[in-house]
Amino acid sequence: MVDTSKTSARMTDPAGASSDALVVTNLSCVRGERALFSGVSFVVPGGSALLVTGPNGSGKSSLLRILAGLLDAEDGNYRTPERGAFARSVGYLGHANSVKIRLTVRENLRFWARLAHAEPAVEPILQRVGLDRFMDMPAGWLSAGQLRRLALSQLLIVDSRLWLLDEPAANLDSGGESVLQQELARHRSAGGCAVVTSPTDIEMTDAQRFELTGQ
Amino acid sequence: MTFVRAVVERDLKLYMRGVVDLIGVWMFFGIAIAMLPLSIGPDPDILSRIAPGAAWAIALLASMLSLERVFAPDQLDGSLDLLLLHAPSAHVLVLAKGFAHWLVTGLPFVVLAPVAAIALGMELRGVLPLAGALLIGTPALSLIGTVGAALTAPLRRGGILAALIVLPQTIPVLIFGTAAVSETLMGRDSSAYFSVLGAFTLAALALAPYAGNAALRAVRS
Repeated sequence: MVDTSKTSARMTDPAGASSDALVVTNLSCVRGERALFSGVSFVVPGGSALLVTGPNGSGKSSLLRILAGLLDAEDGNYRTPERGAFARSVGYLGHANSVKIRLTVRENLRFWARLAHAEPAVEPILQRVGLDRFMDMPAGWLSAGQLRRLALSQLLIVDSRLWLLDEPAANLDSGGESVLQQELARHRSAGGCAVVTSPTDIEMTDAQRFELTGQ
Repeated sequence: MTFVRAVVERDLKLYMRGVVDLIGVWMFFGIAIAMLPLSIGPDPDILSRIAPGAAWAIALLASMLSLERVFAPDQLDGSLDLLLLHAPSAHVLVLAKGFAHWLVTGLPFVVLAPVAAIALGMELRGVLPLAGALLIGTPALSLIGTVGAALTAPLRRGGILAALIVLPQTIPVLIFGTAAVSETLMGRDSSAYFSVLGAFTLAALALAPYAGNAALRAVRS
C-alpha cells in the first residue's frame, strides 16, 4: 500500500534533501475525534536514526503506521527514501510480531524472504539474532522475547532501506537488546536509516531525538 | 507473481496445519447432504429434483464457514500489516487470499460433487454438470467471501457477520448454478446458464480486488 508515486507527487521538495533520506513535512494525525499530533516535521538522512519518544497514546505507533503507508495522515506529507542498493524501500516492525505460530521459525522467515528476494539466506540471519538453534521448532513454542527476535529477523531478511521500529526492544533481554543495537549500527553503516519509537528515553548511540508531547 | 505464489503457498500450509477446521468444513458439506433424505423423506423423485439446488445451497453455506480464517488471523498477529506493506498492491493480496480460500473450500466441493449426486439420488448424467457448475461458480463465492472477510478482519468472531454480508451477494450464483444443472438434467440446452455463471465469476474476479482493498482500508484506519 505504499504508493511512492503518490507521496512523491504530494511532496513539496525541501531544498537539499537527497533521495536516501526520509523527509516528513508538517504531518498531522487524527484518530477518531482526537488530534494525536500536528505539524510534525523531520528529516532522517541515510545512515542516521531518529528516536521518537513520548507518553502512551501520544501517537508514536500511528506516526510509524503513517510512514509505512498503513494509515492515512490527516494532513502533511512525507517521502520515503528510494530503495537504492536495498531490496525494498520501507521495512516495518510493529507492535505485533507478525509471526505465524503454526509455522516453524525457518518457515516464518522464508516466507518474508520470498516476498523480497529470490534466494533466502535464512540461516545466517537466524544466527545473527541467536535463534539458529530453534530453526525447525514451531514458532508457537518460542518465548515472548524469542518471538521478538524472530520479528526482528523478519525485518532483517526483507532488507529495507528505511526501518520503522515500534518499540523494538519490548520483551527483549539484554542479549536481545545488544543484538538490536548491533543490527541498527550495521544497518546505518550500510546507508540505511531508521525511526525507532520508545515510551522512555533509551540509550541510542548517535541518534536524533524527537518528542511527541501528546495534545 | 512471486508475491501471489508465496502468499497462496503460505496460506495453504497454514490451512493444512489447522486441517481439523477444514475437515469440519468438508464434513459439513457431506453431512448436510446426508441429512436431506432424512428430513425430506426418501422419495427419489423429490430428492433428485431438489438435488442440484440442495448441493449448491450447502456448498455455499459450507464455503462461508471458513471466512474468518482468511484475514482475521493475519490482522490479529500483525502479519496483515507486513503483507500490505510488501504487496505490489492490496488488490493482489485480496486475489491471492481468495484463491487460497477457493483451493480449500471450493475445489473440494467439486471433487465431492459425485458423492452429493449419489446421496441425493441424482441421475448420474447430472454429476458432470454439477461438478462443472461448481467449478465455474465457486470461485465467485470465494472472491465475494474474501471481501466479506476483509470487512470483518478486525472482529474477534467475524465469521457469522461475514457470512451475513456475503450471502445476499451470492444469490445470482446460486440461482444460475442450480439452473445450469437442472436444465441439463431436464434435457434442455443449459449453455446459457453456464455462461452467465462464468460471467459472475469473471465479474467477481474483476471487482473483488477493488472492493476488498476498499474494505481493508476502511476497517483498518
